[in-house]
Amino acid sequence: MNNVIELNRVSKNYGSSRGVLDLNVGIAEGQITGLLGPNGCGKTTLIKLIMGLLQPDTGEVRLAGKAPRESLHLVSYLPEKTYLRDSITMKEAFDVFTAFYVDFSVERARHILSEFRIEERIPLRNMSKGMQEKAQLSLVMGRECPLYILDEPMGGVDPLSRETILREILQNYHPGSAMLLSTHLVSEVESIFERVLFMDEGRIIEDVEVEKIRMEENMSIDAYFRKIYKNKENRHVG
Amino acid sequence: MSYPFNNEQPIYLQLIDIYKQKFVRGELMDGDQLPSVREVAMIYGVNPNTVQKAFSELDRDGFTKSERTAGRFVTLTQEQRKVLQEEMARQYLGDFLDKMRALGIDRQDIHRMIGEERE
Amino acid sequence: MLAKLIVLDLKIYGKMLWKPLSICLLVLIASISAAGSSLYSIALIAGLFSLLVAGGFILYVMISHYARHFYGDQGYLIHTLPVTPAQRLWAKFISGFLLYIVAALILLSGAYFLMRTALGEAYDNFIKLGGLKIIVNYVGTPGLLLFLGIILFMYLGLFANYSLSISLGMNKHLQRFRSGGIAIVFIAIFAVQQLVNFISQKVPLSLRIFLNPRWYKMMEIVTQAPNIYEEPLRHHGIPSATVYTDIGLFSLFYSLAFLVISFVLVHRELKRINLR
Repeated sequence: MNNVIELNRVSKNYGSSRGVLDLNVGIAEGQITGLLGPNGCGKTTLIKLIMGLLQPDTGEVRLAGKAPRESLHLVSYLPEKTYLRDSITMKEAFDVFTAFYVDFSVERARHILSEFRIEERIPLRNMSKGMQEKAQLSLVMGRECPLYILDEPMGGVDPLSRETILREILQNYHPGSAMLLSTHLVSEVESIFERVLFMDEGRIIEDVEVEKIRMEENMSIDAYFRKIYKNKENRHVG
Repeated sequence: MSYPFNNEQPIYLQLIDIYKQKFVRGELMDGDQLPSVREVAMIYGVNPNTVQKAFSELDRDGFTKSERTAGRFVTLTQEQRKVLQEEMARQYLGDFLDKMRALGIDRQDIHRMIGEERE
Repeated sequence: MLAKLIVLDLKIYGKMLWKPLSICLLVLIASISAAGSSLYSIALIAGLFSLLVAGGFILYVMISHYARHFYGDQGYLIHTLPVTPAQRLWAKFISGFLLYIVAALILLSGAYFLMRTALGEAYDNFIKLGGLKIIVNYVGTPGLLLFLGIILFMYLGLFANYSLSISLGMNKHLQRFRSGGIAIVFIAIFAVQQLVNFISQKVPLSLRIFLNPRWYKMMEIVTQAPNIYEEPLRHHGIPSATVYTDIGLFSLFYSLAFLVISFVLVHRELKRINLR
């Protein structure tokens, strides 16, 4: 099986402490992988490196075997931030996506938007932060492509909406596609992961198969997550 | 649908259990079609590959059969259903007895408690 | 894809500009219609001011859009669209040029109407004497082409300056200073430009541009230090029909090199973007 994402000895020093160090990982086709870790551990930096929004200081990033900026048409990316201008309406945003992405389906995006009860014609600045995130999700999941990268898709959203978001992700996720989803809300999302990468202080500290953990440790991923980070803390102190 | 799984145990095993219960209860009978992997994943909010794994095992154990384009169908005769019912009942009973033993409750108390328990 | 990027930019320019430009247009119309009244001197100033503001707004939109699209939060969308960095750059260049043309048209036609109403009778007399025709004949078609060429060249210089300042100012090494990095690059460019101009004035090699050019003689290279001020040549007291202006060759070559180098550098920075 080919790896749709490959990182080879990738490091990026951000100046402040938010860099990443010596990342070596491959993400396979058809898998939903979780990227977990406390805030500031480097999840977003890793994702930006994959998308070509950051250049590695050392090492190589490969997206579908090529440099990231040559494979952008294969990825549907949801950043943590709002990346649409605040005067835009979702109708206009759909037009932009239709223009640039052949794999974008307006009907599907429109359907997702209506599930979130968001109006197509109001400008983004009139929406709450949570609504803006859901609106962007409709764009990203409206595309049918080999790789989805979602950076904290449930970040600023109320607990009720998180379920809806998860359902929309699963419903519109193209089968056979790979997905990389970063989050710090482990318990609500762990059921969709097949594999999970744990990050801390810029490194990948564990790479596990989810059902294996449940089988062998009799723990939820959420509990396992706490266990790992507690150990780290104790090691620091002790 | 509220999330019926316990995250501390492999989800695919729990899924297999849920479907076996459906078979025993008669909710899904011989010849009925199972929903697609995708649909099940969406209904329960789980990874489609996990559903695939569960369904593959049901296929392997002979409870279901996957026809290439037509879908997945239940293949369970009345006999097999009875056997499955017995098997699952014994398994649940075993689990129950283990739990009771862990609490230090003996057979007599179990019988008494069952008697007291309302229908 | 390039066309789509350009359309995207133009739509945004439109959205940002329609309100301020409408206001400026209203002020302009008001000041033109006040012609002949006692308030006219105030109206004229207001009219000229509105043109300046319109031009300023357009320039602001052009430059801030470049910065925001490439280095603001919208960069997360722009840099992940399935287009090449070269296309991203060309789109900004071309859409900026279209905006520049619009600005030029607004300024020129606005100024024309103002002058016309300001000069009033004098203008009518000027026209009766065939005024405009005289100027056009003197300058000739090659002169007009030269004029257009200079306008185009001015845009190239403008784009090179702001794109290089912003893109180099936001690169990996200067990012930590945020907009300070942009200021640093801009000041550096300016300082070098001044230095080059200074040197160029001392170097006895200039490009002489005739302001009433003929096809066979639009420009020539002379071995004199540039004569910055327009001075008709006078031989034995008889004014020559030739009027010219000089550009130091050193300065000219630097400008051309600057255009090319800035484009190359900006393209390189866009290929290796680091978005905070």
